[in-house]
Amino acid sequence: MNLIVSNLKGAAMSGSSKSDTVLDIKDLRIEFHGKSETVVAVPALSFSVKAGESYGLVGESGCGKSTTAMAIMGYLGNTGVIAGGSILFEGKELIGASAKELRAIRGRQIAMVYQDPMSALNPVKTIGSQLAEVPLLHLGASRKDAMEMAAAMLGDVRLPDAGDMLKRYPHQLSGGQQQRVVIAMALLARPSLLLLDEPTTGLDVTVEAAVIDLIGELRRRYSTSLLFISHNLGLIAETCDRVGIMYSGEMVEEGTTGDLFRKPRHPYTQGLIDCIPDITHDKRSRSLAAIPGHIPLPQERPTGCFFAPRCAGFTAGLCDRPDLELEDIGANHMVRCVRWRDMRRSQPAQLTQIGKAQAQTEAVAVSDLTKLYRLSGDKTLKANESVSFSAAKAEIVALVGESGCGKSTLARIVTGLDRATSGEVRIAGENIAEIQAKDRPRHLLQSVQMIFQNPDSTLNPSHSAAFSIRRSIKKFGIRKGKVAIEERVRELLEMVRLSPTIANRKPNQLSGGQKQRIAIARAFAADPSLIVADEPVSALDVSVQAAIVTLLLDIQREKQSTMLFISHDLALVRHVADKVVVMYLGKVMEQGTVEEVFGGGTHPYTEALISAIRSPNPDEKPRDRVHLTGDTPSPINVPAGCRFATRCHRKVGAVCDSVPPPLRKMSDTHDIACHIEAAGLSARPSPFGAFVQGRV
Amino acid sequence: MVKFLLNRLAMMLLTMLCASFLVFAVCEYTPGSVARKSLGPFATQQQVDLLTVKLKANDPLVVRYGRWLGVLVGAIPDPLQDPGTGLNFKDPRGAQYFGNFGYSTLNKLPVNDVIWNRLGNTAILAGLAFLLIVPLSIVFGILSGLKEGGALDRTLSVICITFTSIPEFASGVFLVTLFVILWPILPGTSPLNSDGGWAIPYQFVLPVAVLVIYDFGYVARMIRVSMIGVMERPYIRTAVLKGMSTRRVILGHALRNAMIAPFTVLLLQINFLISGVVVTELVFAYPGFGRLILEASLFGDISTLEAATLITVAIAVVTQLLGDLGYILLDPRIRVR
Amino acid sequence: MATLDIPDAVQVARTKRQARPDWMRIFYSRTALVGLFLVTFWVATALLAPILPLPSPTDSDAMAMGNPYPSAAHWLGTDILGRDILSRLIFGARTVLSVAPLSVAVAMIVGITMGMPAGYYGGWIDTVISRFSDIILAFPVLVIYVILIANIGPSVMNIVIATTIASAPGIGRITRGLVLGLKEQEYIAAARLRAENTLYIMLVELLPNCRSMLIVDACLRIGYTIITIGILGFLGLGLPPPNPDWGGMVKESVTVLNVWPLMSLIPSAALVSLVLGFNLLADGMREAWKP
Repeated sequence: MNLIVSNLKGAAMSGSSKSDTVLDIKDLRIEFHGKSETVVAVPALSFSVKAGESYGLVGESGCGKSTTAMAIMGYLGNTGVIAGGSILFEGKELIGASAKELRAIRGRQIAMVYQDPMSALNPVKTIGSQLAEVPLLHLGASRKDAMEMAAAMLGDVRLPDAGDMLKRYPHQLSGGQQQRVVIAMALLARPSLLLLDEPTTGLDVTVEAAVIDLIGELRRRYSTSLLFISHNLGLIAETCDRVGIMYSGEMVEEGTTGDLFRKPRHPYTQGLIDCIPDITHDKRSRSLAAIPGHIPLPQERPTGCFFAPRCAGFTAGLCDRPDLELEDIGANHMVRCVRWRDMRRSQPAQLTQIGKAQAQTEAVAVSDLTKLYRLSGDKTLKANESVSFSAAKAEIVALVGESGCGKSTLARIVTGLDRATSGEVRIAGENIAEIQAKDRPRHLLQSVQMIFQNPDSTLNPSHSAAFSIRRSIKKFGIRKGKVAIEERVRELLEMVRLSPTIANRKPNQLSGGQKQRIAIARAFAADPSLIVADEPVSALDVSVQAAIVTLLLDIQREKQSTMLFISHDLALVRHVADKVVVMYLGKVMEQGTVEEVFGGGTHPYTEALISAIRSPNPDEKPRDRVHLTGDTPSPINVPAGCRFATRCHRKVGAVCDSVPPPLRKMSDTHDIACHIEAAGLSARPSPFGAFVQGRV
Repeated sequence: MVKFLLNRLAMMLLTMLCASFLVFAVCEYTPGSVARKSLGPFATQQQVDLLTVKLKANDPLVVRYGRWLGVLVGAIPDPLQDPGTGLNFKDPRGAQYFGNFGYSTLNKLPVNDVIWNRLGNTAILAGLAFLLIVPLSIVFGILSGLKEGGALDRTLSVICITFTSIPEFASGVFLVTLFVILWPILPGTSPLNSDGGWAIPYQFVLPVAVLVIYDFGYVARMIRVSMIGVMERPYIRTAVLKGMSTRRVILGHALRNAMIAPFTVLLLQINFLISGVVVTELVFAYPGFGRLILEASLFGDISTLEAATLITVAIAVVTQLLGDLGYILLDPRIRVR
Repeated sequence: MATLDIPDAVQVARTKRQARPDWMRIFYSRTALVGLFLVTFWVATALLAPILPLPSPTDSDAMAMGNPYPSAAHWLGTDILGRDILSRLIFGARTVLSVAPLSVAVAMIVGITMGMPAGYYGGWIDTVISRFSDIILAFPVLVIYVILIANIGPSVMNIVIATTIASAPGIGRITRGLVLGLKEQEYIAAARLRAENTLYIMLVELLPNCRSMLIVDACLRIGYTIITIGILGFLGLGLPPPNPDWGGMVKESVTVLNVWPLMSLIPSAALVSLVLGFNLLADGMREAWKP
């Protein structure tokens, strides 16, 4: 049985009414002492976790949430210092505890699950020996007993074939399996508090869903308190009883999950919730509200409210007074905002005008595209196989899928950074699938430009921010002469809402969002007709993400350029795209308009992807989740029939394993590759259909 | 695995071929011909010319190289041993056998009679140095890598950097001044016989010290860098937060990871020591391989030089191979897939 | 390969330091400063040698030969031929400080030219260049020097050639490694998409980002080449007279070490101090420029 219907909403899990506190943090101050300066990462933080409770700590990068977790563990590296406050664990002060006392607590009473499981496991030791260390160390077990306990625990985290697993090395496991091992390791000594530091970041959504379910289940079984640290509001809303929102080292709002997400009082919380694309809306029904500006660095913090520079409700004389306190506004809800009574949640911003795709003119057509990589020996990696889709002028086509689905390879082929093995990519009648960038004529290069994923590597650290924009204008002859080029650079910077003074800065003096804006300006500097955006915002914080996406949509509409938008984030895709292509292991599973793909009657894989998304909306009905088992198979060893057959919850039978699925035409624009008959597919309602209909 | 080894063997042969040819070509520039060197400075020009013709020494370089190769693999007899040359060069192994390095014009002996004995002496010297370098550099490297920038790290780093800045001849001068002249507790020369009144073990102290001083700091620095990298890895944090003591974290989790990268570096020191012995053996009048290379180079003794080259390259390639094998053994990411 | 850091702190600590030019950061490192001092000291004396009131480095002082100890006339004493040691030391610094950096510069150019295409193109170009480097790297370095110099004779030109042969493969390997890591960066892809040619990408987009590592490596290599030149001098393969040469000074006097140890100790110490200077400077730069 692949389909397990569960209902794991926070309310159902908060069975505890005990009031005894497991973890009590008061006025915690964490500093980092560098060679020449001291940085206050966390000025004064207070919160507590009650027994059996699941507490969520939310914030964007640099807000101090991970640092806080490390402070609890007493592990702040060579430079970190706890400069004040107290951390009481079960009534015992952890600050200043001796190394021996800490050792007795670490791994025994407080355990931790880390963000990147691959690197959290020692590559040269077997899973078994790493797991067995915990009972050997804390429970006085013999080696044999320890191994047995480890094997039993691996069963508890639902890893198959525990005996074999114990002898394996971490690199032989998939990401999801590695994280299960880390969770098993954390729970072996039955700790009373479990710290989860972004435990699913970096995992694919379907794997993430399974890991989250597992955590919920184990938590109930072992009645462990959780401190769940994440930037993902949806995850927190689903798994936690109480939530604390951190901003620049401070707690700005705290409350029970339902209350806080239903009635966010702090303008930052409100902004954070409003800027997340949610799966139930597209760009026609809701636009993302971006929070202006960026998170202040610790030395840039203003006096008074740290959020003041980005806040629409800033009032001089009120918000810039020092010593703003967390104010109790009843029902265990606390807010650090003097004007919380006046803060009205901003109305959904005006809808962005939607560019009309000119369905008549085809801008790019990919047909039967295949890319094979020859590996050592006689192995081949099938990155893409017979991929076909097309995009009309000014249309945004999203390529969605989990890691290894071949979406980025496809982007590289379209731009000419890589070469197709066979098949066609037609732009303005020319087939460019097998022409690499260096062989493409100038006008072809110019017409296809790319926006990359990683803001830290998109700009050359040795050159100024505007360097590559300038080169692009010059190389493509968009403008001639120094003055005209500089003028154009300024226009482009203005277009991406950057001050011209930024032009001469080095990339390491820019924030991630600023770098990504420069990258957008660079891509549009060539006046391309097709923009390939490969996960352009996935490395950015959510509050910055919204601004970049909105900007990108605005420019695209204005320039009437076609866009291939590559992403793993379905909610974002729903918000951005006109047309969606869902890929899995190099093949297209489904394609159609955004309404069709996110409506009822979809491919089982799309269904699983959509159902794995968690929304912070507390009013959303708990929905039936599709639970996929296992991990994506390796692209070197693809299943013979349907690529998705090994994990599919609607498998028809043996035919799925042996015969590639036929294409079901659901409509003129909607294709699904599946063995299930079209009627059987469309009989399936949208996972959130009822809710959407209820609102619209 | 077999493929890997065969690949390496082919690589070794190719390297040896290239290297020996290069040495052959370079020796062209030495003043004095083979004939002149074989006959000695007192032979008349006529004798030299005669021998040159007999040895066909005026043939093109490639032809002569081919002939040398033929002698080496035992395909043709060594022309220098031909009684017709009147040189009276005799190799007890015969004139034609596999591994015939020819006749040393410097020592007037078959190269095989000279070189192996010298190589053995050097192996003892380099081996002793290596035995000290390994533990010393590991201890220094691991200790300073534990806490980057800490007081211990800085002290050990300065020691290591200073030691790597002292070449063998300089440390030889310093050590001899200290322990031979000012405070005479050790011999200043190491001829490996007790004629000077010093027992042989004493004769090893200074040469080994000189080699160790120059080399161990370098290796320790490499291990330090690797250790620092490992200590920053998240799995070390995992181990610490499991509640393990620092000692167990280091011995159980850090050490093996930290030794993966420097393992190759450590083995390459065998290669380095061959360079090191040239100077050391000269300073301490040690009858070894390094001095042989130096003397042969200065004299232009092609046969000896070629033999030394081939042996050196063989040692280098074998250490590289051992390094790769050790790497595979240490790192399960390469061993098991 | 993720390395662990405390994200909040690292991000912060960096921005402030990076606001200053990169090279300035070496002034925060005590090691780099000590190294810089030693190097500057020798460079300064070498530059000032002609105008310093020094006795000639090549003239023998017959009076001093019997009593070669330091005196008012000869601050560091004289060598076995009665020549002033201080003067020979300083003029020797001129030789070593011009030959070593020159050799390393040539080796750098050759090495980078080998490593760049090997790393950037990969494939058979990489195989050919790397195999060739492996062959040379398989040789013990000093043996290369000894065989080359003993056979083709010592001269500045030949030392430069020998250094290039011995060092270029190593520099090439470092460059190749750096380029392998950098060529997958998105800014390189961006440059390819705007029709930049390969030479431009190598020189303008890649090389500047290899800069700091290569400077550190060059610094270490200068130190190492100084040692090698010293060793060659000591082996009697140094630059021909009248060039005063530190290794040669040790060689000439090491036979009388038990009588007049200063004659050998002083040039040895000078050499060690200069090499130490370059090594400390390299180490300090590496610390300061750590990404």
